[in-house]
Amino acid sequence: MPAEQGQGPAAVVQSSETAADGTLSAREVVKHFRGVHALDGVSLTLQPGEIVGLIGPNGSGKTTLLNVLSGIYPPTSGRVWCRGRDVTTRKPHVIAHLGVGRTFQNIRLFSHLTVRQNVEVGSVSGRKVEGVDHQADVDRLLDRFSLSGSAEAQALSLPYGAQRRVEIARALAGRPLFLLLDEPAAGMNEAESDQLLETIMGVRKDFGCGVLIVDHDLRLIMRLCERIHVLAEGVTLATGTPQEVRADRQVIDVFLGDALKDDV
Amino acid sequence: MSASEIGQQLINVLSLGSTYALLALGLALVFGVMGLVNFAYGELVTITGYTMYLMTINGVPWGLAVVCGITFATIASLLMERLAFRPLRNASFLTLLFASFALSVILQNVFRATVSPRTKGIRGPGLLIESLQIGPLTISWMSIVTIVVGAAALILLTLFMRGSLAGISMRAAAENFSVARLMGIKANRVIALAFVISGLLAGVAGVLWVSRSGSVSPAMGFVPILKAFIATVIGGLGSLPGAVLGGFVLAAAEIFFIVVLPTSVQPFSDPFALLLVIAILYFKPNGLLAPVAERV
Amino acid sequence: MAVFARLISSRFMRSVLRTAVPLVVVLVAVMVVGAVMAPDGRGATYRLLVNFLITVVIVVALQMFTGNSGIVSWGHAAFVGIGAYSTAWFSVPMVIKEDIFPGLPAWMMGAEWGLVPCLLVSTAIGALAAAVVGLAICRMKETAMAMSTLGLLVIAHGIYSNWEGWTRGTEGVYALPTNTTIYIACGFACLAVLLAVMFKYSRVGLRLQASREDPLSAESTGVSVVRARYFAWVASAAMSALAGSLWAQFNLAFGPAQFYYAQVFAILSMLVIGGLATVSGALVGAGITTVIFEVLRGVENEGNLFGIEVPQISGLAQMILALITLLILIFRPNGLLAWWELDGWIVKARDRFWKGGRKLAPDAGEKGGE
Ligand SMILES: Nc1ncnc2c1ncn2[C@@H]1O[C@H](COP(=O)(O)OP(=O)(O)OP(=O)(O)O)[C@@H](O)[C@H]1O
Ligand SMILES: [Mg+2]
Repeated sequence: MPAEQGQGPAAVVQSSETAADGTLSAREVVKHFRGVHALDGVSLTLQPGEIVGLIGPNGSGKTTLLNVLSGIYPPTSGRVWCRGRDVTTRKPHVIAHLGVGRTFQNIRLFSHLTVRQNVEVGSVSGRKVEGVDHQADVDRLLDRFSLSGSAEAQALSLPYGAQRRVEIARALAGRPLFLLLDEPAAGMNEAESDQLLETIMGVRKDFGCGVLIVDHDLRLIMRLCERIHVLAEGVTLATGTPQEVRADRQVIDVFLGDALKDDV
Repeated sequence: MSASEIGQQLINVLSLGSTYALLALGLALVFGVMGLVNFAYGELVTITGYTMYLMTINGVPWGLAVVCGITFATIASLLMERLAFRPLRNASFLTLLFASFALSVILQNVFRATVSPRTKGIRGPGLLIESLQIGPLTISWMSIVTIVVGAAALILLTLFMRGSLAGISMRAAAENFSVARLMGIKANRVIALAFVISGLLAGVAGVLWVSRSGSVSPAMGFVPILKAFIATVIGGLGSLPGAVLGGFVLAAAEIFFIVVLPTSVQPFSDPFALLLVIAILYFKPNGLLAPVAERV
Repeated sequence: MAVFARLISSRFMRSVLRTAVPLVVVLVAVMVVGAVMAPDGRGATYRLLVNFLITVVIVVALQMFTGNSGIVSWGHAAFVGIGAYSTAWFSVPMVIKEDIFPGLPAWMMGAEWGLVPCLLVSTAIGALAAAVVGLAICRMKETAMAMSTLGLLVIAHGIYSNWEGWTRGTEGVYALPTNTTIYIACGFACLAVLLAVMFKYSRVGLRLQASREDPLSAESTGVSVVRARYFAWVASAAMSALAGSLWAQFNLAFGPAQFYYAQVFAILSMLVIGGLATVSGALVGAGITTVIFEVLRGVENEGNLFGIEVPQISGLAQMILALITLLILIFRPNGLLAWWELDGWIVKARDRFWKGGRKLAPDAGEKGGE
């Protein structure tokens, strides 16, 4: 098993054995769909409190990895561990109870429920914590994501950007220790994506959860993440700090190319 | 049970199963292209039955009545799509199911009002009630015809689905409709075609059904749709080979209970078969040949 | 006391009361009309109103499951049947029972129970049956569940029609005591509405509605979809059995055909017409459908529409009802009330009336598409 080389401020170098307790990790995960090798032996560990970027070209298996981590697809082989427990074949709600929250690439809200109800479902169904005041929590989250004004509107009536915020609020309402975000900046302009960056930084600070973020917006990823994991065709191409990944020849060749040179 | 009895029952399973398989395929095709479990599908069988009934009592030869029965079922299927289901194209599974259920009730009452509320007898060619002796096996011509027709229809359909562009696009649509739309398959054409084939299959199955039962009645469509629904679900809703497999599994379950249950509990053979089916679904909640996982 | 005050002032109780009170008012009004028009408890109108109130229990029970979970159940008529038959087992006079239910064990032969024990035992039997069946059904995918409930209906019909010693087969059951009055029917209709509203606003209810909207993202949000469905399934089946018991103790004679296709269709139509998602919709749908059925049945049986002669057509009522259901599905797919309970509509109407429609209703946002 390749040792993770996390070196960001919040990440501590740990062997995967001792890391097993407080982390969410995929180990040598393989996922095939009728001959399509979506994932071919990918290992990744997410610590609470760190922000990790997951990037790769279209179809490289990013969403699939998130789906395996959150229990939506059982992997063809390999294991998924969450906080010291093997959750490889557990149902998504069990994994959610252990503290994994997520959003979807194509927003999947509870369309006809109100915004408040969407967040409330997260609060009353997420990780169990003693003495939570669900109503107060929901109010706080609505406020934090500037959703109080539309709290009683049906989720599908909101504009796209607000729907993305509802989805993040719903995931956070479940008191996750790990938050998996699938392309949260998709369709956003620069200003909106800057705001998203602030939001995610704030979330890490206030909730202390580890964030695994998939996005094609490299500007965002490079500024936000302590560690980046690059996938290509279902295998890990590189992992490391933004600087390391940026410098990696393979990454530049296969994927980043011009986009990065412009940025640097 | 002796070998010849087993053989006899196997033939029964094949003949009943091929009728179910045809019915299930028609239902599964339409489900594949638009997510609709067409409850009014059973009424296509009824339409075939009534067409044949009305024609034969007026002296039209059997063969012509069969052709017309199948044709009318096909036309009716296409009309259903145009009038009732096209306005509901992107509706939810539940809405579509309710709509087709309502349509089914409407049609049943139309039959009741226009033809007769009572069951009517219908007589097929005399040959069908005679039997053939092959070694120790007594096989009715009805079974032979059913198996041959069923097999022919399945083979033709497979050739069509694999060999023709229309068939391939329909399979693509059935397997993943959103992808098919991305690939630019014309939704209207594919859906209409699915309804035509579905109507054809219902018509063919209807001819077999009516020839076997020898009667037609306004609510007769309930049993075929029930069997088709069950077969597609055990096979894995959305999978075409699954529908065929489901048809044969259901037939086998029914015949099994008819054979093993003592006479006193014979009326419960169908409930037992249904319980067995539910038990299968308990262990395979997505059906025997579950289609690919939903894309997230 | 303080706990009670907190409960009443909680968001949950406020929502429950706001929604349930208008519905209870409607039900009580129906009861008052019945009690005034037929103080002796006889006559066609009285029968119509009592049967309407019992129908409300049946539709509301189905709403609890289908409305919140988004999964159609054809099987609930089977539970209504369980309630009716088990009531017959425990209430028909012994002399008749020996004749019509020769299969009953001795201790049941002797039972000639009254209203409350019959209601209790029927509800319990219904709940038990649902608890067993639900173990299998609730694990399935939505489509397979729909199919299995249809299978359940057919199985139950097969049992009611053939289990001679316990059901008298297709000949049917008779000689139940009349125990259900309009007051009792109204009481249970109100109770059913209250329970259904409480369920809808409860945590399980909320989770179940989330699973209706998107089972997969509900699961990922931590909802055990199977558990939520199972709970609703058993609760709503128990309520259906209770309704069956009430119904049997009012209509006194019945057979297997009473719990089959036609009834299932009528109940589902009510739900579709009023709107699946709300308890109010169930009530409104039941009301509208009952009226349509009454008018059309008059036409069908007497060939008489408001004094105008029309040709007699068999099955006309059912056909028109089906047509209306289809049109509603096409033009207003979420039913007349769509996503808002009666109280929401009252608030909307009030705002439109007084504020010239400028301000958005505080409830659920008007720009919410339908
Ligand atoms: N449910 C599924 N059934 C079949 N194939 C799938 C399924 N989900 C993903 N795939 C395939 O697996 C591969 C990886 O897909 P995945 O969605 O994980 O990529 P991605 O990195 O998220 O891409 P994108 O950047 O476009 O979101 C693709 O080839 C895709 O077609
Ligand atoms: Mg993706």
